[in-house]
This record gives sequence, C-alpha cells and structure tokens, in this order.
Amino acid sequence: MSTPIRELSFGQAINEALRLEMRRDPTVIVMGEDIAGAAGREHLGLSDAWGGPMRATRGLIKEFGAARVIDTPIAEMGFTGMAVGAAMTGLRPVVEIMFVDLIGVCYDQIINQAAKMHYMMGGKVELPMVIRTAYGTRGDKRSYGGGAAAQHSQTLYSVLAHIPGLKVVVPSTAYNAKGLTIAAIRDNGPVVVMEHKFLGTSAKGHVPEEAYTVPIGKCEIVRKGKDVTLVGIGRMTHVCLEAATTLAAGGIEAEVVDVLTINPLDEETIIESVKRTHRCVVVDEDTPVCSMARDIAARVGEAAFDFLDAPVKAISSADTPVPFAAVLEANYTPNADKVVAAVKEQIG
Amino acid sequence: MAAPITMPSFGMYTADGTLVSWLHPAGTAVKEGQPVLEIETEKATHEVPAPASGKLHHVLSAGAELKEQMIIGYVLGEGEKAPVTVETRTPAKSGSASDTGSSRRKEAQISSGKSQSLLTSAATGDGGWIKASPLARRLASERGIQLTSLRGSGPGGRIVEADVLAAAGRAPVAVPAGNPVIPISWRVRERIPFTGIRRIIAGRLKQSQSAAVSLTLQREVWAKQLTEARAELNHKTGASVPFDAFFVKFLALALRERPELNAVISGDELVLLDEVNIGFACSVPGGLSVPVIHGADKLSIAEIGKRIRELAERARAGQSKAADLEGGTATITNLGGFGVDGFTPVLNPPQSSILGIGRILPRPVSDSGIIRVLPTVWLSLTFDHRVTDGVPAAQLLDAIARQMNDERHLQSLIETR
Repeated sequence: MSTPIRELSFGQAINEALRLEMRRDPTVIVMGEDIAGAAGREHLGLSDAWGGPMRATRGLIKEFGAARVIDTPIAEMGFTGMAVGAAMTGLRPVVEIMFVDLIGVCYDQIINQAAKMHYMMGGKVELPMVIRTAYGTRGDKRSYGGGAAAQHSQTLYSVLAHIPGLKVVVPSTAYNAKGLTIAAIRDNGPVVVMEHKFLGTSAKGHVPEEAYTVPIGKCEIVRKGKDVTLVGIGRMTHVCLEAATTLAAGGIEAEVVDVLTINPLDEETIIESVKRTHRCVVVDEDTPVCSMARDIAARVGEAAFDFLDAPVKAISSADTPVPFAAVLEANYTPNADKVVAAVKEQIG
Repeated sequence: MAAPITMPSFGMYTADGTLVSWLHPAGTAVKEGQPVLEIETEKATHEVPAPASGKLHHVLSAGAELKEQMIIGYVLGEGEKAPVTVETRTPAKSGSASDTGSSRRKEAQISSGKSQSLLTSAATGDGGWIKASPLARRLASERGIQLTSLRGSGPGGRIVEADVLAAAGRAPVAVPAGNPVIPISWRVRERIPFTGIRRIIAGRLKQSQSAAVSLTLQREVWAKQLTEARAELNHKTGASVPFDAFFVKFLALALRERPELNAVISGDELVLLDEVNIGFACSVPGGLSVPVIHGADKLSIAEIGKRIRELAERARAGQSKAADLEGGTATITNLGGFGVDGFTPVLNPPQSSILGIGRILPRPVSDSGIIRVLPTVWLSLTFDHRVTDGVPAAQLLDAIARQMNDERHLQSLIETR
C-alpha cells in the first residue's frame, strides 16, 4: 500500500514554511497588513485573517498568538522599519508587504537601512529579516474583467536585485517556495521573497512535510535540452517549460533553467548551460529597462561570447504600465508563443 | 500536381551545369514550353522550358551548381504548395522544426546542406564584415576554415556553427592532423615536438600547395638606377632604407596597374581587391612571419621603410599585434641577403601572388651590344594559375621591372617633401 503523495498549493507551502520555522525558533515573528485577523471581531468568530494574497499567514495567530503574529496599520515605512530594528536586536522578523507595488513606500527602510546596516556597523550586526511580497500579472485571458491594473500588477524585482546587500529569491513551485522561504528565514541577512500572485494553482505540487531548505544563490536546470537555453524567473519558468514542450514537438530541444535567486545570481549554471546549447533566451516578467533579463543576457554575452551561435535574446513585459484590460494584459507579459517565436528566430 | 523543373541531360559529357538565372520571378504564371530559366554547362548556355502551365516556384537560386536530374524548381497548380522533398530537409540538428518556414528558408537549407558549390561569400555584408556567430568564428579559426568561403544558413545569412561543421566535414583540415610515423633506424640527436609555429607554417604551406596551382616566372632586371635611388634616399633621410621598401612599393603600384593578381578565390567567386596590402616575409626565431604594410600603394618609400623596421622588430621579438599580420593581399620575400639569386616562392594563402627577390650583384650584361658589368637582380614571381594566366603575370613582372629603370619615376618615389 503506497502513501498518496501530499500536494500543496504555492501559498500553503509558504504557510507551512512559516509555521515550521516559528515552531522551531521562538525568535521568528511575522508582521504585516491583515495577517493576523480582525481585531474587535472576535464575537463574530473572525479571529483569523484572509492571510494575504497567498493565504500564507492564515491560522498563524491561533497557534502562535498576537505577540508573534502582528497585524500592522497600513504604514509600510513604519512596520518595515520596526522589523529592521527587531532584526538588529535579536529577532527574525518576516514582514509581508502585500504587493511589491507598495515597496516604494518603505524603500528607504529596505535599501538604506536593511541592506546597509550590517556594513555601516562594520559587520557587528546581522539583519536576519525576510520581506515577503506578492508580484506579477495574471497574464492570461481567463481573468475576465482584467487583472489588477498598473498599481497592483508590477514585478519590480529588478529594483530590489539592484541593491547590494539584499538577497532576492523568486520561487516558482510549491516545493521551492517552501524551501526558499525557510532558507530566507534562516539566512542572517535581509532576504526578499518574491511570490507570484497567480502561481497558486499552476504551482501546486508535492511538498514534503518536514522542514527543508532550497539553497539561496543556486539555479536549477528543470528540463534538459541541447539546442537552446531558456532562462526563466518565477512564473516565467512555467512559460519556458510550456514553450519547451511546443518546441520539442518541432524537434528543438530546449533546456530550461529556473533562476530561483536573482541576487546573488548563479551565473555559472546559466553560462555552463549556454556553453552546451550555444543559444540563450531569457524570459522575465519585469519591464525591460535595467531588467534582470538584460542583466543576465549581458553576463551570458560576456562570459560565453565564443560559444554563442545567435545573439542572446531577452524577453520582458512591454515598457509601459501594466494595462487593466484582460486582453491587453495577456499580450503585455511574455508568453510561450513569444518564447517559441524568439527561439525560431534564433535558429532561423 | 506540382511539376518539377529538373536539370536536363545534354548528352554524355555534360552532367554538371550552373543555374545562370531565372527568367521570371517566383510566382509568375508560366505556360508549358515557355523558357523559365537559363543553365550554363561546359559547352553552352541553354534555356529550360516550363514542364507544365502554372505558377513558377524557385527552389535553387542563381549560381547554384546543378547535377543531372536535380530539382531546380516547380510549376505549381492553383492553390498548390511546393512539395517538401527529401532534399529540402537539412541534416542540421534544428531541421525538422523549420519545415514550416518560408520557401526562402528551405532554399537556404538546401544550399547549406546539399551543394558545396552554392557557397559564396553572401554573408559578407556591410563594409566587408562577415556576419558570423562568435561560435562559428571560433570553430572556423580552430579548424583553419576561411569564413569567406562559407555561406551562412542562419537568420539574415549569418554563418552559424552548422555551416562551419559542414565545411569542416568536407574540407581537409589545414594543419596536418598527423604525419605518418616513420620507423627511425638512425641514431637520434634530438626529438623536437612538431608543434607551434613550425606546425602552423607547415599547415599553411600544405594548404597553399593543395589549393593553388602555382607557377613561377623569373626575370633578371637592371638594378643600377635602383641602387642609386636608394643611396640618394639614404643620404636624404639619414637612415638606411631597406631594398624591401622599394620592392613593396613597386609590387603595390604594379598590382594597381595590373589588378588580376590582387585577388582571392572565395567559394565560386574570384574577388578582385580594391586595397593593396603587401606582406614581407621576415625570419623570426624558430620560423617565419609575414607582417603587412597596409595601403602600401599610398605610402612613400621612406615611410614603408620605417614601418618595415618597426614591424620586423616586433615580429622578431614575438610581439606582433594581430593587425600587423592580417589583411595581406600579396607578399614579397627576399633571400638576396643570403646569397640566393633565383628561387620559387610559395604562395601565402589565400593570396594569388608573391614576389621573390634575389641578390643584387654586379653581373656582365649587354648594354646596346657592349658588355658591361652592372648591378642586376633576379625577380621570381609566383602566381596562382587558377586566377590568371602567364601573360598577365608576365605583364605584372614587367610593370615592376619598368619602375626599376624609370629614373623620373624613381625620383618621384624618393622625393621627400
């Protein structure tokens, strides 16, 4: 008799990561908007919150109490700063910024305080804090009535990857979401975990019950191929895999690299792959200017120059705010058709 | 049913031909029997008629080399598509996916995978820059394959990995892969690995001999005016100007006058070059180097002399820059300083001419019937007989000899402003 394989959604996997780490280490706390629940509505039985876009904090208040699961006002600057202070003085706060679009409100706390304090103090303080934040568009035509428009659909991880002192991870599956979240909590520096809003269903998969880590700073080759390397970030890894399936039907074997950590970037795995396949397409949901896609493309161009049989191609979203209309949004983001077309253009 | 247009049989001696041109663009409506293309065989030019009425479809393009019964194109019926034949599939790894590509793409595949004679320097784009991927460049250089000899099958005519590998599969590698091992029964003084510069030189010379059909013309030329002009220039500049500087200039100007041998054979083209860059053979420790004087036809002799000295110094010190050695269109080689009179220089591929210079020595000559002793020099011009014939080569040699005995010309060359 075999045990059925346990499957969790992306959000459930992150929820489990938080729960296991809070059990393991009493210094781990979580804070953010709407993560604990409905103060003053106990009489309605509403002691638990909706749990954020990922439902990742649902149920934590019941197990760990209000001292470790802190509902904050809508004031990112304040509570992110509070987390910086808490991290400097011995706690391991996990802050939830509901959408990455709101990062601008607390950008100073992130880039000047969280990322820099270890260096400003001559290495005498550690900042073991995690910032979890949701990003991305739905990117498909099923979102009738459109997505979340220009202020709640951005990707923006490039502006975080740009900051020395910050680590930025972008999980793509339930499995690596749990493993990277645990690794982020255990890391002694500030780590941003980028959670794609709509990976919920597509990224459902087997997740072991115990705590485990997925290493920060390592890419993963998720499909082997010899004709072209497709480099995917977050949800774009699934777009790359879809494109690879289409390409395979036409006899082109694409290798797919899931970046997983955008800073520090595991250049070696990507470059070794391109040295084998001689072609590279980078797929990134962020806008193109100063983007991860172009950053990776530039590094490949430099390190694998003599191995390239075609120019490295970077596919990004359009260089405009995210449109609201579903059909426009679907065309705004990279999709498998665009990736297939780019590969065919490279192979000619 | 698509009617194939095939290379006809013209009798037992003409199995091969070349597609000169299509008489109508693709898509033109043609009638059965109407001439649609022109073929050139060894003997004559032929027009080939349409096998049926319908729309014309090109498979091969002008310049394609044809074998008997090879499919050149189709006449298509209403709404019909050209069949994808076995020939239209490329052996390259990415082939099957591109079967959905345009017919133009299919043509490119045929030319890269099927027929070597289609290889032209079509990839040479703006300003002579060859469009090739970095990988193709590296592979070509590692395997001694000239990019100019390849036709790119990649997007926009780019030379890609598959093109170089295909060429490598066909052409012998320039550097000998392994010489036969001879059982040595003699006492051995020393065993020296046959590698590095010696091996490169060996490979280049072998390549020269197997590719070109070389022939050497020799001629004794009076050198009295030349030695006097040189003495005068030395006096003016206060430096010792090498004789090589004069011969570089003579050859450069002669090649401007007779451009036939300032040329390379590339694919199925003879490419006449519009710049004259003269290399000079220079003995270096362990081998031979050929630095290049770029635009030698436009430089003064004093200037050429100065450059020769600089380039030779760098070459002997093993510090030549890549640009020092690139781009030569012809070469001179001077063994006069070592007591040699005449010799048979070996072409420096892909060049088509090399001028050998012997020693300048007082020799008895007949001057209007009177025997006098005058300085003369033996010139040995080796040229690629595939490029041109004996008479134009002799005229090139004559163009050099005339300069050496034209006092006014020599005066103008050594004028220092």
